[in-house]
Amino acid sequence: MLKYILTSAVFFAAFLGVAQNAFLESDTNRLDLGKQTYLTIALEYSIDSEHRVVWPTYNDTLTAAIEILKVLPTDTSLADNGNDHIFKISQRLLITCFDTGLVVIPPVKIGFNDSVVETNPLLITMISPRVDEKDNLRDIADIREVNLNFIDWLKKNWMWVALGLVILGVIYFFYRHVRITEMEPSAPAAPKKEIIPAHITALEALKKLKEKEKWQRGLLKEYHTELSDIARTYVEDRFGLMAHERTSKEIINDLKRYGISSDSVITLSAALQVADMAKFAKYKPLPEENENAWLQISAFIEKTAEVTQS
Amino acid sequence: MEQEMTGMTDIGTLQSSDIRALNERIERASAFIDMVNLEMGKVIIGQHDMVEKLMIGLLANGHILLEGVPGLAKTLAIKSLSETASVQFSRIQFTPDLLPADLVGTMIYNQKKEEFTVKKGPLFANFILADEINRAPAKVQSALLEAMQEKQVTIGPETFKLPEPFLVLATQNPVEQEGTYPLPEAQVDRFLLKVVIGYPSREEEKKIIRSNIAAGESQKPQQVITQEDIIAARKMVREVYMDEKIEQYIVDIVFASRNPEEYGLGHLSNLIAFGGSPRASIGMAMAAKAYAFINHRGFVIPEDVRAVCMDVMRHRIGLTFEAEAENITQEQIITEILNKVEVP
Repeated sequence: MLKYILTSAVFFAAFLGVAQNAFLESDTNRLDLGKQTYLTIALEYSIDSEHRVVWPTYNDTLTAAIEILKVLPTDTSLADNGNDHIFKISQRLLITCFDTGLVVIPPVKIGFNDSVVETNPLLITMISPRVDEKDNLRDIADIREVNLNFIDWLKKNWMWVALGLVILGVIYFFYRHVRITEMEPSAPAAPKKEIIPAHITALEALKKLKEKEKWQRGLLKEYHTELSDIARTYVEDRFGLMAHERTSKEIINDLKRYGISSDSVITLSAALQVADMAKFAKYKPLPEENENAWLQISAFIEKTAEVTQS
Repeated sequence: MEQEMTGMTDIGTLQSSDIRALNERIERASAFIDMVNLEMGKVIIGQHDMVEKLMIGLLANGHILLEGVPGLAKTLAIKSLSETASVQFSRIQFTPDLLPADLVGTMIYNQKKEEFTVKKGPLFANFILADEINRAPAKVQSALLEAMQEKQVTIGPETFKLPEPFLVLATQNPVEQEGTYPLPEAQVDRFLLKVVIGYPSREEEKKIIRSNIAAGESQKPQQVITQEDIIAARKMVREVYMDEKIEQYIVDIVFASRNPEEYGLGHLSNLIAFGGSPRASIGMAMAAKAYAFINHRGFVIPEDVRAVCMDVMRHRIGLTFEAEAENITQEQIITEILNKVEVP
């Protein structure tokens, strides 16, 4: 009976051991310095038992000496021995090493249910390159040509491509805009604003001022202010002088440069002088002076308007 | 003349006939200006603008800051003016080691009398030429400017009134700025006018050479007015009629320097750090009245305002860093303002 129990225990122990077998293997155990090889981490377990696997994660190194270049995704398959009760989870890592001699890869720990299963450690012999002492010294190797595909080219030149597309877009937009404009019937031209000559406006203003009969009602200051304003507006429109921002004396001096007859300038000067006296010196011009000022400005406008039309 | 000048008129209720009478009185009262100009012309060749501004300062009871390179007859002008009026003149050269007591005077112990006596400084004169005012430190400048403002100085326990008329002509050299103490804006504001004088013309310079190397004694101006005449003329200047339209014009100019955007001068906003103070408005009104008086007129016209505007405003407009970086001057800003503000 005891013999039977012991035999059964050995059998089950062996079965369980197969079900959680982790191992580590390399495509080669001798590697030239700097060369790359794949490392396989695998876990075999029985699908009959409960299985909850916690797979290890990696950064860029496996140990201080071994660098991980690429991590392939994990793969699940049946065990290599063909037992359809045993599954295998495996993962391949592309590694390289720049140390010479024996490099140890420590056991990799894989979580399985509540326990941890460890793989076997692995030894890889790194071989330093053989130096041919007999040969002469050679130059460093040329830069190796790498075949670039379209995506690689696009990554490098995307800005130029984008710029080209924008330019094409702009050209297309203008082309369309021009075509649409050509096709559209032209909008009716805005009616031309009738330009009224300065002397017409001024003479009309003088007429209106006369109709207001300001000086007759004692509004001498207002009358002469409006009269000099009419003269200033006319000078501004007719000669382009900023007459409203100039004093009477400055206006007269500026007008002398326009080839206006001295009689006309004197006429205007006399009217503006009376206006200035009425505006700034409480001067009360006589009725004849008020009439004269109006006539003088009117004469100035008519005489200088003739000059422009001839 | 004095009898005519003392008649005071209520400006607010002036009638047309009053203005005519005032105009006639001022025409007569201002006749001495021509005599002064004649006497000044004996020794000062050219520089009519400076002489005119000196008269404005004298008549408007304001002080003048004169800017110009050395040798432009600044000292000669004020000295000649003092000689035409027979008033006391003193020239003070401002230096970095000058003390306020050197200007106003000090208390000196008299051993014989065993007491302190007052020794008045050179400030106790009618016409003062403060040469190169920016060479003296701030305490001396402020002592002078306080005297200018208050028309009195205090030495020890006693306060002394400065003589009437009291006119300060301060000069600044625009070239040498090293080791100078520029006048602060608040103190510059106390000068009625800042006059910038330039070189004489070719013809004037030839006349200057001739008059200076000619054989015989050089001409000297004769006394043509008295101190009393000046004081009476100052009273008369205040009577010169200024219409409300002119007041509005002055206010518009000063306000355009403060808020240029309100006058269609928005581009000046970032060039002006600060505009003219109310003192600028008062100064412009007084200077315009004095200018009208000099031109024998009893009322102010816009030409008078424009004639004094540059000198009244140029030291009262502060420029921003942007304006200084673009070499824009106060004169350019004032010209733009004058070209934009409507004349009444």
